[in-house]
Amino acid sequence: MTPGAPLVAVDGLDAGYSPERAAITGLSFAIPAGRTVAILGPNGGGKTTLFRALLGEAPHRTGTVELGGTIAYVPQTERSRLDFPVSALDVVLMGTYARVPWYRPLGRAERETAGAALGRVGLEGEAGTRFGELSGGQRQRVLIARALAQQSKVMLLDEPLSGVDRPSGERILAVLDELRDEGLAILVSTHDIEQARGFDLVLCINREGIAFGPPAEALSADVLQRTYGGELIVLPDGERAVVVQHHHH
Amino acid sequence: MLDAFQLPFMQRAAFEIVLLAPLAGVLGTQIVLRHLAFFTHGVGAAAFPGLVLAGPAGIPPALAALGAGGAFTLGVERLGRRRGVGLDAATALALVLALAAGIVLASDVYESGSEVDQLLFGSLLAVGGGDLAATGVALALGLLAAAYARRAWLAGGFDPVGGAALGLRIRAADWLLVAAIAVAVVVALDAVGALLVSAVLVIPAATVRPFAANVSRLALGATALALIEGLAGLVLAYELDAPPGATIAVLGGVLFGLALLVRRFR
Repeated sequence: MTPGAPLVAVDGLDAGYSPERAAITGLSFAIPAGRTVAILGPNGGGKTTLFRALLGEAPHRTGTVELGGTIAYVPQTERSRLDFPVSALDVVLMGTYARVPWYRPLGRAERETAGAALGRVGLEGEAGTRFGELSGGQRQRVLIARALAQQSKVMLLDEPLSGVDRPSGERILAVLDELRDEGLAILVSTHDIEQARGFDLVLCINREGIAFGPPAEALSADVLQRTYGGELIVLPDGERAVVVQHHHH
Repeated sequence: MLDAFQLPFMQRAAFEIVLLAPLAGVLGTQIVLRHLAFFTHGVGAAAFPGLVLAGPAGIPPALAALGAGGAFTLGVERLGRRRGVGLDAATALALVLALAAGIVLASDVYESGSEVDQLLFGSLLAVGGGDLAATGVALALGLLAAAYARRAWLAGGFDPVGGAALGLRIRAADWLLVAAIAVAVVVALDAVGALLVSAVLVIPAATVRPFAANVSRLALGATALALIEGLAGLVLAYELDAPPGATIAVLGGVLFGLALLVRRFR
């Protein structure tokens, strides 16, 4: 990609399990380097499918996805196995695996990268703690450190702030801002409209792109209504809106 | 007691256990961490009809067992992916069908029932040079697969969703694991038979698991325990004139119970 080109360029994307069951259709957007992006949408609106398409894992995909660098992914912490005998440092080291050939043991360079990543999320003191014994917020920070250790230009985070304690949440947001300042593109899926206002850009999707732009433009009442439909409740002050979540798991 | 090991058949049996122990350690660790114990048991059961057919059909038993185990694996994978079936129900179904098919076949193929006993519960004292060579090859392949895929096994087992995004070939590594387990099951059949493969491949790792701080220690501990249980079971069976495969399984069960008690009162 040429300098100044977007780090993530999606054009006319259709993706899902099959062409008949596309979870998103006709989605286009471009994200330059050094931006944080909140991705808003209802459950089943295509946020997960979009992430899978960006990671090259969607079973069906048409349209183009261009990335200006490697991509790191931070899953929700409930998806990981808490009973695995791995320490926080072991988990962060996984971020370096792809760089080390199978016949070479992990070396000092990998350990330093992983240690620095743990320090960045404020968990250098927990390196030896078993992953399953950490709090939910600490686990989320360890998974972010693992993504840091991948040294990617693009980072996707799947609802990193849901169910996370307040200190962890603040630390996570601070780290994301730092990474943005270092030129990464940060994509965060969230349910929290108020939180989305703190990001540089907002992408609203509901099976198709509803709006994409700075929060002041993208988060209009009309856009939110079209994004969430019946799940949206506008509070009496007329300014704030909340989403009533219906879980279909 | 050690006089028993002067006997050539006891030496061969002990050597078989020495070869199986590292497989039990390395693959048993993955089996226990990835919840593949029931699947492993199923591959063993699936090998039974293959073994029944092998003799009269003139096919090498290990090859027939591997074929049956492979068919079982693919069948379970296909069936388990269907909506409303689930992997455990698919495994149970295929396991029962394989055992039943083996028994029906054996009633016609064999005159006496003693052979069926050996296929189901092993014949460690009758292990020959060819069996030892096959176990040695399986050990080499298993260790090579583990060395090659250890990081993908760890990352994919810990977090299948995020693991693939780490740039690792998680799915290919998973298939390699399943194949390595199938091969290990087949070479363990001589020692403990189709119904008791879990005694070698699951119980030692399951016993050590609560005490292991990380995956390498779990693998090392399970290897050591498989070796101890195997050799002690062999000696015990010799002294008591009991079937060795079943003796090893009972010993494994007793030590598992003791480990639970130790953990409780620690």
